[in-house]
Amino acid sequence: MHLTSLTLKNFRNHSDTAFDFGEGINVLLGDNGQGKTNVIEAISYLCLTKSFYAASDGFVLGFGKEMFEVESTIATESGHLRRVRVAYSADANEKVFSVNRQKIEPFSSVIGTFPVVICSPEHAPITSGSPADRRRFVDLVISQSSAVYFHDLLEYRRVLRHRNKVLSDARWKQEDTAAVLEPWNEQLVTFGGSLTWRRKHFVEEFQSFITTAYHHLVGTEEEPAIGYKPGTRIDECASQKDVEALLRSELAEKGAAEARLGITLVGPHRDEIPLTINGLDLRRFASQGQHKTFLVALKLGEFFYLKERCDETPIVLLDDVFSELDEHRSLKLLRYVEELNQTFVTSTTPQVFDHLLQRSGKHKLFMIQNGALVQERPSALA
Amino acid sequence: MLYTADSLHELIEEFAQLPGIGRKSAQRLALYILKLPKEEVAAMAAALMNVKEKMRYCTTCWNFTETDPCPVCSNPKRDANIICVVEEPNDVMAIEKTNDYRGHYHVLGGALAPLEGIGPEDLKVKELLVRITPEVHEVILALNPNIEGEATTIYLTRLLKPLGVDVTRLARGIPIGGDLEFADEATLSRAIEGRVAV
Repeated sequence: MHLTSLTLKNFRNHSDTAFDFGEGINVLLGDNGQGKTNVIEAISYLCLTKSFYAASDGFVLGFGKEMFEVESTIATESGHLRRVRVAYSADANEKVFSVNRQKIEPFSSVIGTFPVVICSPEHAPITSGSPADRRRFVDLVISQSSAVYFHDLLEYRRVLRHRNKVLSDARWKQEDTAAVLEPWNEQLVTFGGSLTWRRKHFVEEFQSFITTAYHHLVGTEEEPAIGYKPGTRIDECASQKDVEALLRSELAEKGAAEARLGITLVGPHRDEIPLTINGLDLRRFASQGQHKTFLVALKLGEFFYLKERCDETPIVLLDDVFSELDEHRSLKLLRYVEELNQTFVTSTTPQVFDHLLQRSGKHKLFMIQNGALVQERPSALA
Repeated sequence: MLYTADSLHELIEEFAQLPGIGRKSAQRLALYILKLPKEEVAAMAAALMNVKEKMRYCTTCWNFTETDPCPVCSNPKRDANIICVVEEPNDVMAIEKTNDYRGHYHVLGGALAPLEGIGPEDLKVKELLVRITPEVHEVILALNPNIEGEATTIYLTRLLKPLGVDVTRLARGIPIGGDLEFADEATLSRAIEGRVAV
């Protein structure tokens, strides 16, 4: 799929901006704080129904404005045009997502319809941050490719919150909570088993995607690896049912500790997804450059993984990815990205992209200044 | 927004508190009432008061009723030995519309939801257990197919089974008349999981 057009109204500092995109690489150029990333953020609204960084809808709304609107025409691979629109009204605190004027509800059903891969400085914690950051990455990739996973994930999170509430309430009460806890245990096991099993398979399959991308970026001296270290020892499990049985017995085992701490200690919300280079933990031993490269490799892996599984080839959003790379690596990455699908790139420096524009008419460059599009360069005229 | 007429403003505020009614709809309703003949408004007001004064809970099944026991519980043609457990009175209305179910009901008044502060003691659970006499041979758990309904189903099953009664639950799957290709993936995968031999 690709976006043919995009309009932003009262979206952050864009009061009314319209774009006609090229099918290749679209470079959003401008100084700091002019509104480049806001365009990337708007596209993430269309694909994920929300901002890719955890900003609430109210923050995204232009200062002093009542509602924002993002609208785009998306061309699918089967040649259909989809008019996708997200509108948020502060007054009613209501967000509406529609495709071809038909309201889509719930929002969660949109996930995976317009697959997207986003790489921005906000994603740096995937390689350097806490296990939760890595789980979030894995969850988003699998969710975009499997509606069942996404459904189970949402259910699991709710079960977990209910269960933690029961546990924390129980600390103040003297009564026996086993009977009240049991209904949540069973569901924690069901959804937790599904998530654990699917994550295990995902990590196994995803390994080759990362290796290919990483080797492409820096050569074959370094071996990147993604692992799966669930809170439960699932090595001996041959099926999802085995995982469920294991979770059930661990719940029984840790019952006393859970009651003491008032939180759930068993389940995929405690998974770690370790990342290593040549067997060494990335978090402890990797350089800045290795972190960055690993992140880009994860994101490229995500692209090829989703491309294989989704009906549509994902679009790629690269926010500020080129800023820390030298010109040589930038060009190399750019050459690689050119082969993927429609891509949106933000940058403050035009030099790297000059060759690009001359190479193909599919690429376009947009100068953004103070929340407005001031110049557009189709490569034909460059 | 400020209205010049306080009484109109007040009515709009009242309507806006109703579920599913936004400010604009509330305004439309209030203006509609304003244009109605006085008798019709009086009839509507009387109906509102009536429902509040006459309706109460049936002390057997905890559905809304004007008479206690309610028409379902007191109907001799209905089978008192099958009890269908639901969350809310509107679930009773939905099942009654099928005209297929001839047993009794039990309205819990919600489902287990610790996050909203709803525990077993906030539901009509004890009231259900006292109804399970040796004559009762089946309890149908017809709770909503979400995690709260599921938790309630598991909780009740655990309490009911030792009483020697058959406990059943509604099937989950593809709606009748629906196309498989339009079913959402989660429903479809649950339907495959719950497949039955033919």
